[in-house]
Amino acid sequence: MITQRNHRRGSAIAVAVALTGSLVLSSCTAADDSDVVTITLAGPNQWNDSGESFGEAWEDLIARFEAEEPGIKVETVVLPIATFGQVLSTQLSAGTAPELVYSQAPHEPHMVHALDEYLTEPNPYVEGNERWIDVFNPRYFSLESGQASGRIEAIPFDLTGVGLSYNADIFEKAGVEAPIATYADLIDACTAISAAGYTPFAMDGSFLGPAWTAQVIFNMMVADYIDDINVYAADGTPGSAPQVTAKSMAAAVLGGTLSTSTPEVEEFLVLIKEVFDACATPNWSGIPASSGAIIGIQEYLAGEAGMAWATVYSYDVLKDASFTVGGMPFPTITSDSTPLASGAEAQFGVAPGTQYMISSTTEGAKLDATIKFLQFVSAPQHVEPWLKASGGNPAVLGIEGPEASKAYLEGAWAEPMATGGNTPWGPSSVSILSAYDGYLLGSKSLDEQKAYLQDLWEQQARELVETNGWQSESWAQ
Amino acid sequence: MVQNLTPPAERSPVRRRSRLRPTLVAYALLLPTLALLGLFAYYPAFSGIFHSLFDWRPGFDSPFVGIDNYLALANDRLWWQSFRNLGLIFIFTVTVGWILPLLAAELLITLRGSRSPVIYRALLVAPMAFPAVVTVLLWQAIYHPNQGLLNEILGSIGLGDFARNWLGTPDSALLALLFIGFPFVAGLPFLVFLSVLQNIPTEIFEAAELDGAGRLRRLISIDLPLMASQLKLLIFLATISVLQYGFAAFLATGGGPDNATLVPVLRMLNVAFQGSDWGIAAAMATVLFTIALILSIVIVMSGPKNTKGADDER
Repeated sequence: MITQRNHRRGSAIAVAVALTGSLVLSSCTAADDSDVVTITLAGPNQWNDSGESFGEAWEDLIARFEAEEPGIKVETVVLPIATFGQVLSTQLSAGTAPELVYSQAPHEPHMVHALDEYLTEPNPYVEGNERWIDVFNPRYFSLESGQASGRIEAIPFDLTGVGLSYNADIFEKAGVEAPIATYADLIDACTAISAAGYTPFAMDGSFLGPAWTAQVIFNMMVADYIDDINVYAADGTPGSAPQVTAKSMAAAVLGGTLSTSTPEVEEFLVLIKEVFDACATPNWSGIPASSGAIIGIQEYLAGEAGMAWATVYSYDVLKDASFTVGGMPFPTITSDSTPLASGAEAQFGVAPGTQYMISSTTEGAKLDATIKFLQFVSAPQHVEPWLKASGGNPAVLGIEGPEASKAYLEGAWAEPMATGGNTPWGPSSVSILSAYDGYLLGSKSLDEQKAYLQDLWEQQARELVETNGWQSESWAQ
Repeated sequence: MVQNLTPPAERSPVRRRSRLRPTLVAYALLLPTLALLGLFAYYPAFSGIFHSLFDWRPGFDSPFVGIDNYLALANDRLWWQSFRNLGLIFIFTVTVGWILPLLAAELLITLRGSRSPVIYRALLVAPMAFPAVVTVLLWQAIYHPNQGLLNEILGSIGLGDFARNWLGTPDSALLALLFIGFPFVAGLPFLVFLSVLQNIPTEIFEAAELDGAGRLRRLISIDLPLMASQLKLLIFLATISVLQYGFAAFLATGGGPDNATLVPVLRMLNVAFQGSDWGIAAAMATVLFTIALILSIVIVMSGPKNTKGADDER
């Protein structure tokens, strides 16, 4: 009994000492941690299916940054692909977003910092650099790369490209030669692949398939109008920009230079319907989308489809495919298909891929730390190991991208679209898919689609006017 | 009943305190619930109504815009179009959605024995515990146009001509969405029908049987009239749930194809989360709330008051 009591007393003392010790230790740690600035980066996982990490190479990149900047800690929040947009847009609207936010989250200019001025300052992680912007490949990212607001809101970590991945075995069986050069050849190829018992063009319910197809065809069909509609520079002043800006496109729509009754626009609608009717997976609209890297991924990977839209990120998945994989651009529309063809080659453009913005509520030491992190990630020697491991293509000069993804990143196809990708869709509250699916599925006639789309275009233009304060422009009255 | 003949003034203070104490305790216990409701239900609701008058930018300055948001939604074609689907959803809910639960309840009370009704009842309502997300995703797989179970079954029994792109064509998408959860037995209507039927005295059924009333006649002349006040409650709840409909559409179709499954809640979410127009979204929520309130008042004020009242009159 006495022994037991002593034992209890001893245990109590041991617990008390341990608690006191841990309190002292934790207070010491807290004191040390108070000097550390923690910044958080939140975005979808574009590289693997983990819900916790962007992969070992990313963790290594963070570790190297933290070793170089011991006073800064970087935390990564991995968000689900399906919901990251809603999560981040809600946080941005509420002013509770983390410091670094994936750029494709819906947002308005006041929710994020403009980075133009920072880009004219030196990047301390690049020896001899005088302007941060100079480390980037100017073909894809420059001070003229501003968003609709005319500001640069995001820094690219890599580049992405899109193209047609094809199953060379199916092409051979169907007697189709790759690359398919013209749109007329594409329709013929689809007929041949169908006759061989395969789906010509894998498609699913994702908005990306219709959106990419529409963008590319629209860009070719309105090429002759570019000079007329390219009336504003990247900073919003009168002039022109390397690619048509959102402001120029809004002016074209509200000013009447471009409408759905423009013959080339009407022909664009006819052509996109033709390619979906002749080539796309039957019942594509009812197939749940499961990947942003390859459209119709299940059918394509199963070797049941001749081709599919794919991004450069698909190479990791396709390297284990059971068939021979090839890559090619979307074919060019020629006068064989329509007398209204402009003759412009198909373009998609290599674009900044993984990009991050800084939420406007980030201030003081956290803002400084966030800028440092973005500068570190755009220093060639620091970002190269991550790019090599993840298969990404560099947005900065001085390093090479992987051989495998070059098919999507070369030639006219890799040139930025003349329309700047500013294909008018509709206001941001309307999904791109819903702008086209009724027409592609046959529930809207061409005339109904023209009227519906014109309404959406005008709504989008008015939304841009309001968001960016262009009300004083004559065409916006 | 024994009346308390002691005049109130002469009642012992101790006894009065002991009567008051449980009442005070009840109030005290209700307070946390009320506080939580206030914080998580009333405050967000009133905040939404209040902010519908602003260009609401939740984390930033929000200029007052008066009724501009309401004018904007009045011109939103998709918003009004989304209401068209609600009519069909309501009709489906109160017809197809109730017939099978009513039939199941009628069959269940017919079962003899002490164990089998309990087992059947448990089996019929158990799916209520399944996560709704799982149910929707499961049905999405069943509806898959090229590999789905439904089209496979139709093909295997020689009805391949009826196979279709269930969720992917505007003609069938809404109806396919509404059939998610078929046969709808695992739900509140079934439990309400069953509880009413179980509470009808067996003498009434026996008397009806002696009078020669068949099962259909009994359903029309006895069961349904006795359910009148509960049906009113169900209509009230169905109205609210139809106005709030959107979960399955959000998961399975996103409002498409061609906006065929677009409903007001989905349009409101798109305006808020994709368009960042929080003020207009708040105005939409306020309009939905007002419609729900008006319809609720109309339903509560119309029809039979309650079963007890009806019994008393008899």
